[in-house]
Amino acid sequence: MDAIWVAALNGLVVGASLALVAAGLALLFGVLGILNFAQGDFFMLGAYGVWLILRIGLNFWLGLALGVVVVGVVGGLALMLLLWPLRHRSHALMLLATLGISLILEQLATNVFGADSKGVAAPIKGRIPIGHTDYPVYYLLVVAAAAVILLCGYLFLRYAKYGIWLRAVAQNHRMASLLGVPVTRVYALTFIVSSALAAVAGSLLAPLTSVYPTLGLDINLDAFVVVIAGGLGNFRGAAAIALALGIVESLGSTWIQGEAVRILVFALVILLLVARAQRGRGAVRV
Amino acid sequence: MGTNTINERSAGGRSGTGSRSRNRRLLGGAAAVMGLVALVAVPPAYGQYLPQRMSDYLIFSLPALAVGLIAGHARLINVGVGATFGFSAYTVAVLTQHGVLNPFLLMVAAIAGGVLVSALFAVYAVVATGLEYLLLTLLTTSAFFSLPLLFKSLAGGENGLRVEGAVDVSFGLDPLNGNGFYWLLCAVTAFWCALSWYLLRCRLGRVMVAIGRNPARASAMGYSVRGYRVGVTLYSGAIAASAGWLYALAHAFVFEDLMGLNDSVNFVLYSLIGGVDFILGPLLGTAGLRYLGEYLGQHTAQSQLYIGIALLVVVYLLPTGVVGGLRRLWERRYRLTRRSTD
Repeated sequence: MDAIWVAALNGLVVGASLALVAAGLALLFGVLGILNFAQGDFFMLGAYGVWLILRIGLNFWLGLALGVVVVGVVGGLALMLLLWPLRHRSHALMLLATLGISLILEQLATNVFGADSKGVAAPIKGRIPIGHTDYPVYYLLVVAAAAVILLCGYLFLRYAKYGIWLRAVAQNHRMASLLGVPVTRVYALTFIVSSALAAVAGSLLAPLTSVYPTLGLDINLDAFVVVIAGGLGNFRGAAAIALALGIVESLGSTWIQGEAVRILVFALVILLLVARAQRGRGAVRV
Repeated sequence: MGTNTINERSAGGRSGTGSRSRNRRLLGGAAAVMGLVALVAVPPAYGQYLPQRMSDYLIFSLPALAVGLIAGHARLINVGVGATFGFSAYTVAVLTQHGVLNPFLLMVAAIAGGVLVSALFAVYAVVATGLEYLLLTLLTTSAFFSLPLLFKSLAGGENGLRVEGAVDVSFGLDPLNGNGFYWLLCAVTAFWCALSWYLLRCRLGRVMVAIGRNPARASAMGYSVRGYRVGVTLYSGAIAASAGWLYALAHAFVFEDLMGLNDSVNFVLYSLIGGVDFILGPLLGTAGLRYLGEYLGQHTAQSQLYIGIALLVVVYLLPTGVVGGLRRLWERRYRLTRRSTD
């Protein structure tokens, strides 16, 4: 019974961090129609940010904040600068561009930090007993932090001025522009928030996994699955599916082979997407 | 008199255009024959190494051609061709492990297996378009990647699977000795290119080109866009499957990465960089990008950086691919020459 609880909690931790990456991906797709292959690399850069700050002897939380701000603002705006000229081109070209950016970021990370894996110490060492098992407190903190960030994101989209503008641009950017919404500024904000969400997930998850240049690749595919299953561009759907996916994969692996769980998940998502495509309900919703 | 002059001029113009078009076709045909002769004769003249290297380019150019046909003429980006390619390669390996060594039987089984996988993509082509189709193919190839790990006893799991039967399974042609296997690859590639070229020029192909340019208009004209998309998906599936069959024979070993996302994305890259609107595009894209990767891998540790930059250069400066860019350049030059002659 303990094993099941621990597996469920582990799934929640993975799902929570996945939700942050996927929410950023969904936001970018919802507003700009861009499927960003480099999203995982911002996750990786966020993790390296924490590692770097800890290495120079500063605090973990400071590293997290600095990493998120730098990756969010610099990375987001750089991404915008590169993708802006392609906004009217085909999805294929946009995908190629984000793939190119991803390759460049991975090589630069290898050049600067090296190809080896780097460990990051958790800022909180305590454990709490769950049945006969001691579970790390930091893991639960990751879940709580992700929940707070996603809730803030939801409230921001629902009630804040820029959140409402963002939704308006996602629905009809021409109409939003005619009504006086500063569309370019909203686009810039989308790039920044999307990159920052990936970076915060990377920073939070760094103590759980080691940090290496291709770290983003591993989470990218799962994030894509989540965004597809949640409904392209659907911020809330992505967050909910990410949590569900993390728990299902973790719990499923305790009973059946991990690969079987993955194939089952892929098959379910494919069926969902086929059904949605047939009903024409794949509409973008932020 | 004036009318006659105009008619004569227009007739002369038409005949001029006709002869120019004939000349261009003859020139293209001659270039294709010369290219094929060069492909068959030149690499073996430089010893054993070059044909072996070219063999890989030819094998990987076929799935790229498959992606190019779907992308260029059905306007669907298939990121799952790796599943077709890998499945047919695994079909060969699994059958040889079970004592099936007849080369013809292996070829038919591999292509049938690949076409079966592409039937799944054909279903997607019916129910989805655009980004949804792309995502469905992406998920499918990701699921296929896990299959060899799930069926370890049959497919060898992470250790991969050997192709048994030595040269018996490849019609007695040794991929590592002599040029026979290389010429077989040239023949298969030439066959698919010639067939694709013919199909795109007959009525069926012209409808496909029309669908590629404007699916809504083609549908309004009464053509079954979905039907043609299914057709082109299955046809390109057969091309990718034949590449999987040849890969299994050439390397005598298969592993799960062949079905994964990595190879699938590479095939898309090769075709988009070469140019999806041309048969030659994916072939040149494959050779160029693989050579670039190998060259950079040998001379620098920064290969990923340069490939990333190359991707961005193609996206910004050559959106129709290298062949598309060359054609545009040639057409501009041709127009300038005509203007100066007039």
